[in-house]
Amino acid sequence: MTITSQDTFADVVLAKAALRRVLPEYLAAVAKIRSGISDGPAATGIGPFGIIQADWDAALADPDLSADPFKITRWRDQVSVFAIMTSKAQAALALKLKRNFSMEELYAEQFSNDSVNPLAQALQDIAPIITGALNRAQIEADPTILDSAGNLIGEGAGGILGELVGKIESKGDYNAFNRGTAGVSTGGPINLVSMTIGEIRA
Amino acid sequence: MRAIWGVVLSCTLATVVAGCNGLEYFREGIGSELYSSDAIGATENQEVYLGLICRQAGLPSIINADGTAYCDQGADWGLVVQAGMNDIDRRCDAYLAWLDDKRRSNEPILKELAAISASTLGILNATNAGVRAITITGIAFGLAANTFVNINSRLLSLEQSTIQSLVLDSQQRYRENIKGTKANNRPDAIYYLRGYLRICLPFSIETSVNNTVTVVHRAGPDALGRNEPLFTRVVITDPKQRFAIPGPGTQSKLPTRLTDNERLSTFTAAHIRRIQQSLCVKIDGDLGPAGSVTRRAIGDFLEAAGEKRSELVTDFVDNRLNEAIEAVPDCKKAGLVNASQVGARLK
Repeated sequence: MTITSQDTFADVVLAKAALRRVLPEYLAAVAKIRSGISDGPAATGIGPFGIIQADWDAALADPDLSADPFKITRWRDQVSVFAIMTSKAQAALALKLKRNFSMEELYAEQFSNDSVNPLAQALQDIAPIITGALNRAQIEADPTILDSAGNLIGEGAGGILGELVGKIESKGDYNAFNRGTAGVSTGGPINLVSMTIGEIRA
Repeated sequence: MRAIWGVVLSCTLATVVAGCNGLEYFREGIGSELYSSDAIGATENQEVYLGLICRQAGLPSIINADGTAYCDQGADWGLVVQAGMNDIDRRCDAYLAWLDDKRRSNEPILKELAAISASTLGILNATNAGVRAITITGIAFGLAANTFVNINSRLLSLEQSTIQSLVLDSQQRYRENIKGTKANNRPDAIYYLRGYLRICLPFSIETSVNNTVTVVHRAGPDALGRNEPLFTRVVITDPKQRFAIPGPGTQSKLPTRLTDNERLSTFTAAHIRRIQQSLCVKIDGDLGPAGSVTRRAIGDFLEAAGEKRSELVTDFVDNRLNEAIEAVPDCKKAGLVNASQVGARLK
């Protein structure tokens, strides 16, 4: 599968960065420098991060990764593996410097033969797509989010929360919960509407 | 003819109820507009509101010929945000007090409605429910009761201390979260103030309550612990800027989330729904516990795609599922009937 859009790439980068505790803008900037965010053969190697096969094999020898058959030619797998490589480089750098570090220092650590100069421009270039990914993630995570005009752009109070509550009440929908009619029979499920959070906790 | 009059009366009643003084609180709480006046456009309202806030904050403002004040473009927008949040606190407190008042007077009204339908007009007037000119028929009575019950079942049925603690806690968290950020201009200020105002809207409060109830039911009281915000940050574009290794971010503590990947904030219910839609599974946004229908479908999909069977969504499995979503966004529309067929298509 090819990278269909930069936004799709940014969404994947954001998820992998969150999983491995690295900066998504760094991952995206590296891909920008090394392949122009493309999953074809790059001048530096294969895929968006231009990884060479030997480095890939070495990374997969790590116990964190060896359980899964990641493939160098799959761009999503490249993001997963490069996020782990970056995470390990971060840990090594923190140990070496014993202080916080910059993306420039991290890049030099990971690509010691390359100039750090293109990093500044690459970060500028990818900022809009990472910002977009952050916004999309925020909207998906927060059902009550509004846009700048005050319109609801999240799912709203019903949505998935309503579905979940509906399930808890076994009545199937948010409205049953909201009307307070769920669980009115003695054999039925508990009626949460009349309970306080304190009572539920107790 | 009676039926027609019944409809007319019902409609009249509905209109009267909807137009009653104070009912805007039922529908909108403190309102989603920062400054509410029908005579002025929304953009101008924001200008006027910010002008007032600027004056409250003692910041330079421009007074127009009509007496309206506008923020000077060179205003310290950080101070404007702080002053605006204080103003919203005041409105929100008033709304919470109103809710409490309505809740206290609510129960007697409902009891009376159930007991003496014929005397509703007098009761409603006596209890100052704000419903005038109610000439009740049987149909109209039903409408009146339902309207009241529906309103009651929203926020008024919740314990006031619950609402209050949720709102105040959310406000405090919001203030803590934006501490490190800077409002550089007017759009920034509007953004922060809208976010703060949103906390006090009825649907936000309902969602917070639902969220809390759901989390407590699924994961116990410990799951309510605070997490750091994951997404509320500005992208770093300076390669020389030092940063700390990012924290673990917000993690779902739902017991049905079985891997680190499933516990990620980015692994949302919407994402699960996309997976389910792709794999021909009932779409409910829930992965379910081990052995659930959705998890079994994931295993079937992987097997058919030539991968090792797994019902856990690891980093690797999520990549394969994203490929499935990309290739087959909607299983039924693609003419497939189960996850194995989707997997076979990707093989």
